[in-house]
Amino acid sequence: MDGLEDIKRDILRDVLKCSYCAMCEWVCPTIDVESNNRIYGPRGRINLIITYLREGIYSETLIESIYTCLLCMACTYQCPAGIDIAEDIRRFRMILDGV
Amino acid sequence: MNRHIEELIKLLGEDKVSTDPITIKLYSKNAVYYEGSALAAVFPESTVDVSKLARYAYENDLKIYPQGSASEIVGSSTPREDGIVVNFMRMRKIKEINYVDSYVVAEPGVRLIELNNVLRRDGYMFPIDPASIKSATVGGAINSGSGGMMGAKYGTMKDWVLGLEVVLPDEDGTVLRLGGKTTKNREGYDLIRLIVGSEGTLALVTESTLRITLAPERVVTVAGFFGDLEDLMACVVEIKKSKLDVLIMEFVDDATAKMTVETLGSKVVGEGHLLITSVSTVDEAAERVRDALVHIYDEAGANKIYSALTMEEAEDMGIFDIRRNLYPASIKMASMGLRDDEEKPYIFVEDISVPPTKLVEAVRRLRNISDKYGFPMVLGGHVGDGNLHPVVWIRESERDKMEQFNKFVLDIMEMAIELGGVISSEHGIGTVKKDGLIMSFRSKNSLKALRLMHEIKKIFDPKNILNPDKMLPSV
Amino acid sequence: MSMRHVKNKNQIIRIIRDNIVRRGTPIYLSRWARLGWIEGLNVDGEGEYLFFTGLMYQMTPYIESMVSRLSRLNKSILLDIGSKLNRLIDISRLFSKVDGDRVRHAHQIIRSIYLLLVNSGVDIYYNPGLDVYAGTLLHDFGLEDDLSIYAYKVYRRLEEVGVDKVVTIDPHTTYMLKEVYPKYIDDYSLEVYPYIDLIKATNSNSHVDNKTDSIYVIHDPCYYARALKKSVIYRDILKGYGIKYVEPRFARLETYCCGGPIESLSPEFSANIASRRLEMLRETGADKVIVLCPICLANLRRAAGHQDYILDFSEILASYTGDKS
Ligand SMILES: Cc1cc2nc3c(=O)[nH]c(=O)nc-3n(C[C@H](O)[C@H](O)[C@H](O)COP(=O)(O)OP(=O)(O)OC[C@H]3O[C@@H](n4cnc5c(N)ncnc54)[C@H](O)[C@@H]3O)c2cc1C
Repeated sequence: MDGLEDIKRDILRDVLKCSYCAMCEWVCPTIDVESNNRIYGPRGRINLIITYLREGIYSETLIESIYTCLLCMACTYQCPAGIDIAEDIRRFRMILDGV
Repeated sequence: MNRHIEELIKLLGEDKVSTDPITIKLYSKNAVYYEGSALAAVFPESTVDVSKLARYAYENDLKIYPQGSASEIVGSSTPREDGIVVNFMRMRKIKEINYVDSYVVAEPGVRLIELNNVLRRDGYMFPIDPASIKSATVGGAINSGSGGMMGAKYGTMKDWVLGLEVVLPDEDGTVLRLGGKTTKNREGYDLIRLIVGSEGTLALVTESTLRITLAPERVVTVAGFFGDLEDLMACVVEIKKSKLDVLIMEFVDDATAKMTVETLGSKVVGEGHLLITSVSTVDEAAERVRDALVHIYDEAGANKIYSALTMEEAEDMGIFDIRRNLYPASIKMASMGLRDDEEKPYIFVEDISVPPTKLVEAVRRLRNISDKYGFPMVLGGHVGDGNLHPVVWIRESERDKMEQFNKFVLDIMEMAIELGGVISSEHGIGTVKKDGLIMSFRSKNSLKALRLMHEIKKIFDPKNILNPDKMLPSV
Repeated sequence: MSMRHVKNKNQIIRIIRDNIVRRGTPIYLSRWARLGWIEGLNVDGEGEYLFFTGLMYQMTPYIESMVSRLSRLNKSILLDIGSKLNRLIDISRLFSKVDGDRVRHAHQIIRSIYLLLVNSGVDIYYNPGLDVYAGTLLHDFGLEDDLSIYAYKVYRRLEEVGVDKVVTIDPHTTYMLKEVYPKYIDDYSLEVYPYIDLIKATNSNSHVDNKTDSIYVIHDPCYYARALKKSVIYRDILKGYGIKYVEPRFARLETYCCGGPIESLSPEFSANIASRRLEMLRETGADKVIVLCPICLANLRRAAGHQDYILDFSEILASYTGDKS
C-alpha cells in the first residue's frame, strides 16, 4: 500500500483539477439539507482539502465538512473534470485520522 | 469583531451571518480562479432580510457583493475585503407555477436545473440552458444575462423575464416590483431589461417571474463532420433556408473534435469539423424532418452523418458528447500538460459573437491568433447565433504568461469587433473584459454610452456600494 | 463555525474500529439476530455459490437502537472512558436492547432472498462460519491499515475452504467484495454476484394470487445505482413481475442518499437527510417505497416512523411468488 505522502500527492493531483464550476452541488444531499452551505457540499470539501494540503489550514470546519460526507458518490458522477470526489474525500480521512 | 458584523448579526440573526474564515474563503472564489475576500458571508432568507441588509449597508457605507453559485467566469461574483458576500442560495423556493398563464415565480437561489426538473414533469420547460445549467441560479443567470444551446430559437435570459422584485441599495432598502405576469407590458422604460445582465451592480434580485414554454414534442438531431469549414457553413445556410424549426445548432472545430475524441472518447466519430443540429417537431413529422436534414448534410458534403429521432436516442448515441466535452476535455488536456503533478491548470473560456455569416472568417482568424501566441486552443460554439467559445489554458507555474494571455484576449475581442460582432455574448464583463467594453464602444464612436451607464449606476446605487468596480470601466 | 453535526468523532470511530477488528462487527450482534433467519429453512451446506449475508440486514435493528442511545450520550468524557473500556468489554453490548420485530423483519428479508435464489434455480449453500461483516465502516472512515488486514483475513478464510463464488444480498457488501477488496489483496479471484443479478426476472409462481394494486416508488441505493451500475436490472425485474412503480426526483445515477452512512457520527443530520428523502418519495403519491439496501431500510423506516411504508425489494417479490415465510 502507498505511504501517506504518496496518498496526499495523489489526492492533491486529482483535486487540483477543480475549477469551482459547482456542477456537483445540486445532487448532494448534505448541502441540500444544510441550505446550500458550501462547506457541506462537494465543491467545498474538495477546496478545503486543497487548502489543507497546500496551506496546512486545519480547523473544526474542515472536520465537520469532511466527516459529514455520505460517500454516496452522487457528485463524482457530475464532475466535468472527472475528479474522483467521494474517493478523494474518503482517502483524505486517512490523512486526518493521524492529525 | 468588526462592528458591522455585530450589527448584521443583530439585524438578521446569528445563523445568517458567517465570519468563519474558511467558510468566507469558499464564498470568495468563482469558476475562473479569482479569489477575493470578505468581512463576512451573509445568507438572507427573505426579501425583508435583503432590504434590512441594503439599508444597513447604505447607512454604513458597507459594500455588498451579491452571489449565487459563483459559477460565473469573468469575476463578477467575487467580493473584496471592504464588504460582505450576500449569497442568495437560501432563497430557493419555486413559489408558483402557472401553466395556463405560462409563468413561474422563483426565488433567486433556485438552480436552473431544479426549475426544469419540476417543469419537465408536466411537459414544460424554461428554455435558457447554459452549459452550467446544473449550477447556475435564477438570480445569477438573470444578472449575467445567460444563454445556452437553445439560444438559436429561444434567445437569452433577457427574453424570458416578465417580472422582478428587487431591493435597491438606498436609505430605505426600497423593494420594487417591476413588470408583471404578462408577456405584453409597455409601462414606461423597461427597467427589467436594464437589470438583466447588470451583473449585480444595480439592484438585488429577490424574486422573479419567468416565462415558460412547452417542451418540444419531438426533437430530431443530426450530426455530421465536414472536411471543409466552408462546406459546414453552406450546410448551416441551407438549414436556415429550409424553414425547419432549429432548436440547437452547435459547432466544434476539427482539431478540437479530434482532441476530444482522443482524450475522452466518443461514440460519434469522424474527420473534420462537427456540426450538430436539433430541430423541434411533432411525432408525425419526425422521420420526414430527419430525412430532410440528412439530405442537406449530405448535399453539403458531410463525410459522416449520425441521426437520432428522439432526444433519448441522441443521448444514447452520444451525439452531443463532443460538444459537451469541450470543457472537460480542456481540463483534461491542461492537466496532462502539467510538468509537476501538483500544479493547477487554469482554464479560460472566451465568449465572442460574430454574425453567423462571418463564422468562417472568425474561425480562421482565431486560429491565427492562437498560433501567434502559442496557446493551444479548443474551439466550439453556437453556430445558430454566431457565439464562439475558444477555450485556452495555462499552467499555474506560467503565471508570467498572464500578460501574454491578456493580449491574446484583446486580439480576439478586436477581431470580433472588426467582424461586426460583440466581445461578450453571455458570460458578461465582470472585471476581466472592461477593456473590451471600451474597445467596442470606441469602435462605434459611442463612448458616451458608457458614461450613460455610469449615470444609471449612480441613480440605482448612489453610494456605489453594490458590486463596485464590476462591469463598468472608468471612462 | 463550530462542529454542528460531527460529534465525538474520535471516540465513536475508536469504538467502531475496535469492535470490527476485535469482534468482527461494528456493534454487538446476538447469535439469534445473526442466524435466526435460517430457522425453518432447509439450508444446504454445499453448492455452487456461497450465500453471503455480510450481516448487514441483521445489524440494522442494533444500529437503530445504538445510534439513538449514543447520540443521547453526549457527554464526551463518558464516551472517552467508554471508548477505552471498549477494548476490554464490548460496550455496545450495554446498549444492545433491540426491537425483536425489527430483527424478525430482517430475518424475513434474508429468507425471502434465499428462497428467490433457490426458486430461480441458483445452487446456493450456507456456512455461518464464513459469513462475516465485510468491513464497510473501516473503509468509510479511511482506516486503511485496519481494512487491509481485515479484508485479507476475510478473504483467506474463504479461499482456504475453496469458496470461489459468493452471492451477496446488499449493495455495500457487494461493493466491498467486488470493488474494494481487489485493491488490497493480490491475486484476488473471488467472483461476487449480487442476488439481483441471479434471480429470474419473471414470477416463477404466477398462480399465487398475491397481487395488489399498490404503486411503488423506487429509492435507488447509491452503490447499486452508481458504483455497480445496477439500476436497470431491478427495474427490469419489477417489470417482469408486473409490479407498478414510479420514479422519484433524484433517481438512478442521481439517486439521493438516505443519509444512513453518517448515522454514527452525525445521527441528527442523518435523520434530517432521511426525512428530506422521504418527502421526495411521498410526493410521488406512491403507496409504498421499495428499497434495496439495509441501511436505506433502517434509515428511511426510522424517518417514516412506521414499518410498512418502506419495503425491501425482496419482500415485495416474495409476496408475489408466495415465498413469504
Ligand atoms: C463550465 C461552465 C460553463 C458555462 N456555460 C455557460 C453558458 O453556456 N452560457 C452562459 O450564459 N453562461 C455560462 N457559464 C457562466 C455562468 O455559469 C452563468 O453566467 C450563470 O448564469 C451564473 O449563475 P450563478 O448562479 O453561478 O451566478 P454567480 O456566478 O454567483 O453570479 C453571477 C452574477 O450575478 C450576480 N448575482 C447573482 N445573484 C444575484 C442576485 N440575486 N441579485 C443581484 N445580483 C446577483 C453576481 O453578483 C454576479 O455578477 C458557464 C460557466 C461555467 C463554469
